[in-house]
Amino acid sequence: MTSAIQKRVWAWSWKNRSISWRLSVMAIIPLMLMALGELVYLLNSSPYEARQDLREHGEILAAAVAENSEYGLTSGNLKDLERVVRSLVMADNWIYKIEVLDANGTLKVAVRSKETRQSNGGVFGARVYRRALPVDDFGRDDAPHFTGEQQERAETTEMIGEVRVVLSQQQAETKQQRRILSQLFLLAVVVPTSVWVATLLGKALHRPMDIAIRALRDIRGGDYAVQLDVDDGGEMGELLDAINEMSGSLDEAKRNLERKVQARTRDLEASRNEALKADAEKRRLIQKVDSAVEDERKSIAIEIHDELNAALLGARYSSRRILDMVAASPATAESAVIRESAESIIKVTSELYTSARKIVRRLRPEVLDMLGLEGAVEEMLQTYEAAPGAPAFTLKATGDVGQVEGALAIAAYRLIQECVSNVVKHAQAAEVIVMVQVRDQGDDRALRLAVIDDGVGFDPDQVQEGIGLIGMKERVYAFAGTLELKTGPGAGTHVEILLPLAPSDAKPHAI
Amino acid sequence: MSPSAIVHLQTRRRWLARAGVLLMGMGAAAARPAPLPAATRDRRDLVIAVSDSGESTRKVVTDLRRRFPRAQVSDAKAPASRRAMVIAVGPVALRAVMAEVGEGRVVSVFTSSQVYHSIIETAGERRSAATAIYAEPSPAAQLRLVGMLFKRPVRTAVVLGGRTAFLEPSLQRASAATQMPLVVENYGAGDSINGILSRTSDAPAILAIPDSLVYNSENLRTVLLTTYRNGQAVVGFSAALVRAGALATTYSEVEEINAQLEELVNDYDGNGRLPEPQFPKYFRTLINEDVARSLNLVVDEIARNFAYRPGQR
Repeated sequence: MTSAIQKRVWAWSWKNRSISWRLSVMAIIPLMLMALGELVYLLNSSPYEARQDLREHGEILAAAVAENSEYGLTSGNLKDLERVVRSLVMADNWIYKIEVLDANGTLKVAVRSKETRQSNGGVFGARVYRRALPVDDFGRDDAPHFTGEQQERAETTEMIGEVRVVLSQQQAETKQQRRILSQLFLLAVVVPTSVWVATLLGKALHRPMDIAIRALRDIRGGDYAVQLDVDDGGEMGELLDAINEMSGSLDEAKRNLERKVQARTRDLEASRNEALKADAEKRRLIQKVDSAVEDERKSIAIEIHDELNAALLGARYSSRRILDMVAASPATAESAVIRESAESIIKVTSELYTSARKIVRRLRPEVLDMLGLEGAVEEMLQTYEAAPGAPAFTLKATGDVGQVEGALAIAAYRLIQECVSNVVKHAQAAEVIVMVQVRDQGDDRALRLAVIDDGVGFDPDQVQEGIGLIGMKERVYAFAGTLELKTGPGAGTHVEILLPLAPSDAKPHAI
Repeated sequence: MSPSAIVHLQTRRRWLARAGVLLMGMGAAAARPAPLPAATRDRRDLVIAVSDSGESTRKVVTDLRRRFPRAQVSDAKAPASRRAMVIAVGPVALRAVMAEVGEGRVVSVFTSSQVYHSIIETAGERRSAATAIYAEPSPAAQLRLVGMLFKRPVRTAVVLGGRTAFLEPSLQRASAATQMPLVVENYGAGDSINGILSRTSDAPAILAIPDSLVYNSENLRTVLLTTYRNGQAVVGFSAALVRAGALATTYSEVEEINAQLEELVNDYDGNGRLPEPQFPKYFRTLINEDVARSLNLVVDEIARNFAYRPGQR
């Protein structure tokens, strides 16, 4: 949990920050740490340095006074020595007192500061030596005497006294306070200045980074024609150069891609045109096939009407003459058989005739030519409704249905005929609504057909498409229309067909 | 360290010193002698007596061997021929030679006048057979140097102790000869050198005659400081003293002392008379320019080149 919080804090504080912010932090944090360390060292070392200053000052003073006391103690010229010591005490306000003693410890010179100073700075001593010059006095008889450039003798020393310097701590403390104040002032000046300089340097480094980022954004936005002025050296210069090279490469790649896309588009357009062409040809072919079928049906209907029905009428007429002749002749057993046979022939031929007329009507809805689409559909629905167990049909025709004629009218008639036939055969419906609508509003010109029943419906995923539905789709396709089937188990069936009434489509290609 | 060990060590040091002297003689004999003046005669009965093998002594012996190729180099404590002339190099050698019984003459070199006289005074009968070339500079030459430095006759103070009191007559003669006024202060028992110097503070120059009772290594620094504060110029007695803070001195190198010795020996061979002890005849001058500047003295080339070299007239 703690680790997750730490990661979140770290991500907030560092990873999501800008380069200039990070650079500034990288420059400022060490500086602040150094300043803090300097401050801590300053405050902690101040007493030690004060003592160190006192010790060094005292030792140097004692050594200097001892060095200058040699002559006074040797020659007995103590007034001169006292004058020197007094001037030193007057000049140096660190000194509380200076004493000069001889080798026996007898006080020879003692000078105390006239100012109000405290003797709390420590006592520092130094011995006074009489140093013999390395010169042969020619009094010794253990070695030859030379006046020339001979090797010098070693210097010998003899202690002849001692110097004691008593210091006052006040001046050392004052000096330390001044030192602390001056260093604090220096830190107060240096740290903001360094922060300012670090910020400037960070900005100076950020400027090429900003240029690089803006260039990358342009590249991401698709503008590959980016060329940066590279006036920086080092890594930044390399980065800007790399961006220039990358943008150039991307621009070239984009051009190549565009050329390929254009070429591919041309290919696709050609393929599409080919497909459209093939589609139109397919539609024409379907229409041609449908037209051929309709022509053949028409021819068969005519044959049935002209040949078969005429023969059936002739046979029924002959049978009626036989009945008349049998009725006029004496009733015999033979005449009874003849009469039954003739009546049976009349009955069969009447039924055949009726069936033949139905077949002719189905093969060739001549009513289309006489009544138009709306009348033909209405006549067809009456025929279906007359069948035993048939549902109740309701026709709703809107718009100028009369303008629909020719191949489109035949196709619409056949589509509604197929739908109604399916309803009668499978739907077990009680009520069927057939809608024929012509929409003619500007560019929206179409023939809408709808057959809606309240039957059992079916599951489209479970039921394999039959020949009838496939034929309907091909017929719709031939006229560039759409067919939508909405059904479900127990939900009835709704077939929605939309056939364009474009001028070219309203009058189909000549077949 | 036990007393017996100390005695053993001292004996060992003496043995090593003698061995060093013998080796030094052999080395000097092996060295190729330089050509000598035609007047120089070699002596078979000349002995160079030394008491140490220090660098300076070796230099002396080397130069003497060049001048007297057939002279014997001997440890001063070794008995020499009774009739041989002995050159005693340094006080120890002189004391040892004077302690022996012999008829030969003794010439002391590289021994100061005060030490020479202290040794001679205790030498007994043989003292009349000895003479010396003192180590310290000639007072007369020093007085002449003072005159050159000041470019005028100036009062010159001299402090003589008990060991150098015998020099006063010769100093007075030198004063008269150089026309330099001389103030002689005698240093007695209980006297303080600073007190005497304060009495002579009106003398622009101090001629320091080596007397360890007056000037010694312990008080030389004080003497130099006092005279400096008094504005007095100290004419010292050695180059080392000039480097320590004295104004100037005349001094003699080993070759110059030995040249004078060679002349003395030759004269003795010629006339059979042994001269009185004498100060170095040949010398040169060393001046501390810093001290001269501090004393506002303008040193000229005459003073810098004040010298008397062998063969010079």
